[in-house]
Amino acid sequence: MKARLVVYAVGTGLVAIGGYGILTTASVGPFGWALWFAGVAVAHDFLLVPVVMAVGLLMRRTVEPYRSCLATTLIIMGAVTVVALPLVLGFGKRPDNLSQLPLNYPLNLVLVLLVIAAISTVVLALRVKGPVERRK
Amino acid sequence: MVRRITPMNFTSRLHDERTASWLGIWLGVSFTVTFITGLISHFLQAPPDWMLWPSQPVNLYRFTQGLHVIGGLATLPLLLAKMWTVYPKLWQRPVVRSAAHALERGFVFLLVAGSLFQLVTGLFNISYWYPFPFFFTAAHYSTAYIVYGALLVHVANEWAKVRRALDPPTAHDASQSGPSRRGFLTAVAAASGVVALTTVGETYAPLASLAVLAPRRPRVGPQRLPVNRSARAARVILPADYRLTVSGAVRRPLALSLTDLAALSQHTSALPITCVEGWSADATWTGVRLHDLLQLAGADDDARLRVESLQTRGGYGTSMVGPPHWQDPLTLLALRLNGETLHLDHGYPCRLIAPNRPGVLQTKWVTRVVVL
Repeated sequence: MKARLVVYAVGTGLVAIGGYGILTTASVGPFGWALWFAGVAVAHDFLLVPVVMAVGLLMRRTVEPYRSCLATTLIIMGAVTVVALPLVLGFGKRPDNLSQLPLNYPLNLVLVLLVIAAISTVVLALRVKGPVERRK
Repeated sequence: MVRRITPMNFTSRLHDERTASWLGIWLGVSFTVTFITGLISHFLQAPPDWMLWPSQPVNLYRFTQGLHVIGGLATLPLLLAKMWTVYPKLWQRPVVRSAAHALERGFVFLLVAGSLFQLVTGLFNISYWYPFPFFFTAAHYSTAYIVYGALLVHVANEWAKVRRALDPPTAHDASQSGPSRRGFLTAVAAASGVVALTTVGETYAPLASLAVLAPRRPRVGPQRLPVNRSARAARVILPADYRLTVSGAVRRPLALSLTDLAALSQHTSALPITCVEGWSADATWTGVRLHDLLQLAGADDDARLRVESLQTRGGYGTSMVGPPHWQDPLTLLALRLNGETLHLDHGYPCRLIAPNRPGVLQTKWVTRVVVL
């Protein structure tokens, strides 16, 4: 219990340091910060998660082993797409600095997704084929 | 008919305590690493007087900052998975049961919103996209304390569940039907792995060809080295009578033309540019040792230096150099890069290059060295 109180105190202290920094740092501005802080949580909870849940509902009719293989593939593809999205949109490109975002990101993302799909297909084929071979 | 959403609406077994605990353990490790490496980077850029950062090992900052950025990217799948797993708790009724419960949920909100804020702003920042109304570095720094503090409180509250997750599963748990927990956690780990694999080559050159979703390529840029801020963006104005001056607490102030600098003893160092944004790239620099120059001017061994640029726009126009860095024989005021005269975007006529230091402190277009 004592250890827990110490952790509570340290945690609250760190939150207070951070909050003080947000309120007092001139280059932050608490209102714009608060808008983004709450905004990303709202966007996640009421936009991203419902979309993921909807995909889950659409997958209800699939059966094993297709179902788990599809779920794994979509989890990996979704994560990679989220991380690559700002590069694909390319707002950070600058005409005076060609070493910044130098690649063709839309093409690269498609290629990565295709590689993931290809690997998943092979894994699935092995899984579907596996039990049949054992029966022989 | 409007149906009220409750946790009972979420039927997947993957919304269970054990899955959440395992993801929580991974996230705890990852957030600790990113918090510590982030603090290192922050204090290197705004060093308090007590801080003594060594100039060796050369690649220490390259490692810590690579870990911060690539590790942060790889954390995103873990965080999204964790929040999906515990999502039903968002709809718990009653919304708050007691003052303690309200406080607990308040800290969870700080943790959830703050974690997303850190990963989203970090991702935008390395993509050079700034749609937010605040200065990234300052907001990311202060928010880190909020997140880590809220994480400590959360871990204290959930410690019993974490302990249970470390025990082997019960027979009842093992007999549950539905998607496998192991399969889900493997998929999430694989997602993190793919994110890391397609980005880490921006700092670890042997994997550069795999870094197809990284904002930088180590060998792409003028003279085969990426540029952070171009001469145009920094509004550099080169005077016709360029001189590098060494002034301040010295016995013999110096004012050297480019010809004078080239006539001094030239040395070559292989040193990386290690950017705070996580990318890094090796390069070979040739120029005058900063130590030689300060001996020529007659500076004290414990002096600190302020190196000043010709740039007229943007931050980091000056940087401080402490004794460990200016006395290191690898530290140069470089005139040449990879065998050629420095490109204007790399700091022509003269730039600072020192080991184990963020790229923003490797001041370009150097015109003044002030000894303090």
